[in-house]
Amino acid sequence: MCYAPRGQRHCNATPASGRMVGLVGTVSPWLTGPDLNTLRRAAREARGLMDGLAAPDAGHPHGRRATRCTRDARVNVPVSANDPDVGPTVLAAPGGTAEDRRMVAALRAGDEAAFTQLVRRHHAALVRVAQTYVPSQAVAEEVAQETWMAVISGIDRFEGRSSLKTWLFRILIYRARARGERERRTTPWSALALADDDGGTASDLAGVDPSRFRGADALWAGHWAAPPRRWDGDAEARLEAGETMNVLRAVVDALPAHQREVLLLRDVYELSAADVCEALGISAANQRVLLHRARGKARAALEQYLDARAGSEAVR
Amino acid sequence: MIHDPLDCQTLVDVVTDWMEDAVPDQQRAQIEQHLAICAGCTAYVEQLRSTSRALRQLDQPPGLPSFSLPGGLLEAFRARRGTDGS
Repeated sequence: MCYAPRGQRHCNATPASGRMVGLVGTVSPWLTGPDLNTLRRAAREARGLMDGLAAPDAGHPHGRRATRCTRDARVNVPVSANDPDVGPTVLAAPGGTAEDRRMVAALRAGDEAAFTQLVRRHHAALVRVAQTYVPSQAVAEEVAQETWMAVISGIDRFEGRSSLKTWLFRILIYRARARGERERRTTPWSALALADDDGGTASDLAGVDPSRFRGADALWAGHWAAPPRRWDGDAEARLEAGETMNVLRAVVDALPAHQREVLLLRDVYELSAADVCEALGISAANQRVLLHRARGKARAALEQYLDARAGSEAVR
Repeated sequence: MIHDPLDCQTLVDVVTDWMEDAVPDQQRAQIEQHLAICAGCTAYVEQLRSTSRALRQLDQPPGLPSFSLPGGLLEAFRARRGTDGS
């Protein structure tokens, strides 16, 4: 990405992929909430990502590095609104876990086995998350590949302020969103966001039918009329079976896009809440709402499946 | 009789905030007091945790030795990070 001074319009060249990206400096329409601080933060993060993801390009019209852009030149992660660390470091010393530090050192040293291991570990997850944003598996694969190219060229600037995995997902999500925007101009994210469910009570949206609670007129109103069963040893063992995994895959695929991405990142790929907020540019409250609904629906699907299995075994 | 300041439907509504440690102290105390006496809600919370654990298993990286990098990636890595690329 170019290192045009802050306030100037950045050009659209992306040295890593040669593709055009048309979202420079815009606020992601993914955000549906009116929270101004969130919007500002997202805009800052978008700029930080654009500035940080790709390596400086010697043939770039803005030159290798603009003097007013020291912050841009050193970051390879989104700039947090509360980030107090604004120094002109050029080559970042990797922080984070010991495992991340080892991996980063190996990548910087050109260790092909380490790179292969990293790709093997995360490629399928990157493709899976990219699919939330782009219309086909083939495009998702391309976005994941672009992400790896950005990693190859940007690893010198990884600072370990997030985990390596979070950094990968951040790069991927940024690219996948930009790609998704281009692929379906007629359906911007703001419109897709409306396709998320709304209305109903929080419990209803989290997959618990209101009829399972005692009505307002009943004794113990609001308490369980049809409580969930404890999942005993058999049910817990069944949770690990392949068929149960298929149930979970189906429910994840059926979720509204934003619930799906939060559930994938939080529960499937085990990012922290803070990392998910940062990667997606959403508020903590927003993240919890999406997680609440998504995890609740997954629980409901498992409950239905396990109850049906237990029922059919009791009949036999 | 035990005083229960919370009903089950409310617990289901706020359970994620509680699990994410994002409820005020007073509400957390109410939730934990309720869970101590409500088998249905205790089962509900356990089911959510089991669901979360089960979801983790969807992340199955290809462990096969035959896994090969997507086309061109290793070459790109070599060109950029190899002895004359870095």
